[in-house]
Amino acid sequence: MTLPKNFQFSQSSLQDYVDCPRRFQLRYIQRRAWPALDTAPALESELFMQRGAQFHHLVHQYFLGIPTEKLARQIEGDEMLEGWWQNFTDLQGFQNLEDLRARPEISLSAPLGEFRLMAKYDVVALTPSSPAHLPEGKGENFTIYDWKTSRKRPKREWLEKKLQTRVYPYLLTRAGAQLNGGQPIPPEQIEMIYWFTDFPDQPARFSYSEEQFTTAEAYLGGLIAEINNLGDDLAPLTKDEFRCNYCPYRSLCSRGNKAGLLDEMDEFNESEIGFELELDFEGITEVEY
Amino acid sequence: MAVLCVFEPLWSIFFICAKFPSGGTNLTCQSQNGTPVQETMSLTEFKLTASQLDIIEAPLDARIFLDGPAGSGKTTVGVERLKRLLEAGIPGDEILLLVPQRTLAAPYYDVLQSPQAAPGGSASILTIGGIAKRMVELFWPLVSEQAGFAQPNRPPTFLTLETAQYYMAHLVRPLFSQGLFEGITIERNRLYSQIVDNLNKATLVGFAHTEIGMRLKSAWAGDPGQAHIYEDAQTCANLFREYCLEHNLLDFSLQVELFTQHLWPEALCREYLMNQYRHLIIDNLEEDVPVTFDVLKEWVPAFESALLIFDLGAGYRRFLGADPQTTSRLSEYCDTRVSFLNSFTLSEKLSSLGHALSVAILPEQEAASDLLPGAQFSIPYSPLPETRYYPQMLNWVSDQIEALIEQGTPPGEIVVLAPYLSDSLRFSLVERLDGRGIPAYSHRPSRSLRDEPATQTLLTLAALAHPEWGLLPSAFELTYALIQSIESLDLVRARLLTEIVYRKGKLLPFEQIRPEMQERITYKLGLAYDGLRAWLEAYIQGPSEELDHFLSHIFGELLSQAGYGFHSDYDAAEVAANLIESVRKFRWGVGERLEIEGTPLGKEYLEMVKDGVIAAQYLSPWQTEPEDAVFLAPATTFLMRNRSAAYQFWLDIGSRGWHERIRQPLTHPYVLSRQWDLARPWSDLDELEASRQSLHTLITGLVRRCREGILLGISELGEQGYEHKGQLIKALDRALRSV
Ligand code: SF4
Repeated sequence: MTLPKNFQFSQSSLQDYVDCPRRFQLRYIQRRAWPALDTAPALESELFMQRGAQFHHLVHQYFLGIPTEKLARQIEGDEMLEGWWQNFTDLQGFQNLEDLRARPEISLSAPLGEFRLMAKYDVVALTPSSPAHLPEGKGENFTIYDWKTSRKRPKREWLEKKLQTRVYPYLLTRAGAQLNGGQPIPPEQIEMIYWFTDFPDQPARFSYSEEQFTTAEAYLGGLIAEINNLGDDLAPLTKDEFRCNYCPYRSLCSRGNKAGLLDEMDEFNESEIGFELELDFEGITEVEY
Repeated sequence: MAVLCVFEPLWSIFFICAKFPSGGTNLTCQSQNGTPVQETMSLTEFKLTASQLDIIEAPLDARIFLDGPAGSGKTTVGVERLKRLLEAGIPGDEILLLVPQRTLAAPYYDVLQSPQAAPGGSASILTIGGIAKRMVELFWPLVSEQAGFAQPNRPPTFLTLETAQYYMAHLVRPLFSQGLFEGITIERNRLYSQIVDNLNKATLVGFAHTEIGMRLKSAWAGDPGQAHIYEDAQTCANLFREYCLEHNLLDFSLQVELFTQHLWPEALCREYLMNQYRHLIIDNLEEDVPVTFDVLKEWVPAFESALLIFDLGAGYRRFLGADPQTTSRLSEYCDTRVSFLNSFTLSEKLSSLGHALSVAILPEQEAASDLLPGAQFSIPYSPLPETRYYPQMLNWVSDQIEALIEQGTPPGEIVVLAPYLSDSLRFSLVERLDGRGIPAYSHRPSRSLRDEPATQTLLTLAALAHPEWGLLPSAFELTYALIQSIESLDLVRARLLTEIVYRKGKLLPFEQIRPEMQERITYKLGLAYDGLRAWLEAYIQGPSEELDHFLSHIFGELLSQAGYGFHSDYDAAEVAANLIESVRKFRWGVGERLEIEGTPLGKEYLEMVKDGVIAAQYLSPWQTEPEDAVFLAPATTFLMRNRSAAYQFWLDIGSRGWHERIRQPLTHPYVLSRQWDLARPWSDLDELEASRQSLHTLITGLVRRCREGILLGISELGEQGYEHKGQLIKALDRALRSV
């Protein structure tokens, strides 16, 4: 397999590989355009994705200092978004932006093996309070927030295994020195929080440690090396055929012809939608001048 | 025979380099003076000079304006300065790289994405349009009301070029019956696009859109009876702008105007930009537009460091509003101005060729030219009369490319350039090179989206699946769609099948066909046909889907399944993906309005494709460009890649396209610029002067981006079969006679 020159790995491309090596090969190496539906009904699924993207956009605007009332007016009449927004603005801790040194939509990347690994964070917030496991007053706390708009709240064990949970804190340690006065951020000062728009009181919190960092480095480096060393043969297809219902390549793999139904998604796949949410705000072609 | 006469005396006089292949004629080129030729090397392989190092290592609070000709190592300085900033611990996300066009940023992307770059935040690579769009997305609620939008509390809809043209067509079409644009002959879609272009120019140059007509009219020196078309163009521009404000639509001009007029002066937005970006690198500033100057003259002093790179003698994007005279004034806002004088890429002979051509085109500017005369040179070209006809010339070009590659030139070091690259020229050349096993690629797919067989197939099936639209496909269209949809179905069987099964928009089941006909068609193909028919029938029974969803649906469930035409045709799948993307953007841009009107979006899309309003563009392919392949492009496209090549082939050198503007009766890049004196009419002399200047800029730009040699593809009869003799061939004649 030859990866394109200067290919950058992300949590979602690595997750693709872990879920199904064939999907990684089709999507990132062969760059196969295959515009089949992944979820049906298409319109419902699209609206769900769009709302998620709108919510992310609203929060980004909020952190830039646009008054909450002005933002609320932009979504008037959309009950679901209004509900999510209400849950967000009710959150303690985000109300005083002056105290919270939050960096919304920040991208970080670092070399790993022969490639780069990159991540785009919803928000990285710096707070003076220390995590519970740190002695009082020992440095700042760097909290990674990730907004999830999935309709079901995934189990902690599932979240723990997600590549995102491994990549984000790892990369903040490797590449986040700029947020810490030029010094690498010690893993113990990092926490990752998944916050669910529909379950505002049930965030999933993950603390981080030196040991987790070392394990993640070995694991992610190994994964990237493994991908780089794959031959030109067809990569193996996933054994979990349920995944194929929600994968556009199913006709190429002879794994059925119908897109999976949004309503029939199990917790695993629905969370997947929330995780892969990437409505492209740049999608409207920029006219270059 | 004119062309032959021009060059015949020069066959044996001079030779440019030792590496030229044999042309299979008496044009074999050998180095006569034995001067070694500069080896192919990339810019980054050059050892940095002291003056380059001075800028790269300048203090981290320096604001430097760097100018020089192409090939003098300016971009190398930009790239190395970027590395230096990152190595000095400047967070990547505090660096803004500004370019007038994204293709020009390729060397910077290479640095930022390489595994050698230090860990940290990512630098932003943006155009002024990109900044405007981002800022509008983020800060829209702050300015929507003051900017005059009728629904300030609702999010805006961003228009693509396609959807902007669609709205323009929607507004302007009813006005034709009222006599607007009477007296000019122009294809309607070009008319719409020129009005959109006028709005863009007004914004980018920085004058009110309500002045477009007045400016064009005051420069009109032709028949006074025709001047009304500029008033008509103004009426349409006004209508369009009002419609956009009424419906929260943001075309490119309105995005930039919102940014420059409302957001840039807005404290929160300006603070955000100024806090976010502390270091600036701009490359190819000469290709940027006046509003970039307006913004940067206030912004440059606020950066901790700035490096502004300006290519002297360029300005190829004038037709898009580039204004080197204006943007060069940014030097006044920098602490230091540095000029590079020498070219790293240009050999003595190419410099000499450039000088001779430069003087032949613009003799009065000889003193100002930095290209040096002296060395003897020549340009190999396709020999007449063997290449009298176009296909013979293409064979010669392919032979030469093959020979160069055999002699060790990497294919990626060869470019084939023409003023315009027609689809047929592109196809013919790529096919010839393909036949020789030479990788080649073009700047865009060879056909527009609507001309692709996969597009036509999908839209025919969409029409069949939506009888309520009343757009029943013809028998011919169905036959064509069946061939594409069903694997191994040939024309004869497809035609037979259509004749038998297609009745008033309905498809009969295969089983109802007479057995002998079933046998002729074969049961295997019949089964596939039945699958398609049943799928469509089932779809018709259910609720209609949005067109893009329908296309994805039929692609995934049927056409990409084994036994159907798209299953192993990856190119067709790519076209399908592009089409679906185009429909989706159309839906996001105009869906709401159509819903209010009660017009089915799919029907409207199909009709607009037929009219050429949409899907007429060439969408960028999904695939990335190959790394080592011969590049075929219009000359200006090559110049906008900011790269040099070892060998350049210039085709169609007799064409007037090398210097003449495309006829655009409703717009004018020179009149709608900051440099134009409003009191003057645009005369024939101005036109002549502009075309000489633009040929000069283009040709010297090409020569400066060549390291080994230039070869000319000449045919006596052009692609259309006519003789042609434009300014370039005359200049070449004069240049070669002068040495
Ligand atoms: S269809 Fe299934 S096997 Fe094929 S790429 Fe998708 S997930 Fe992998």
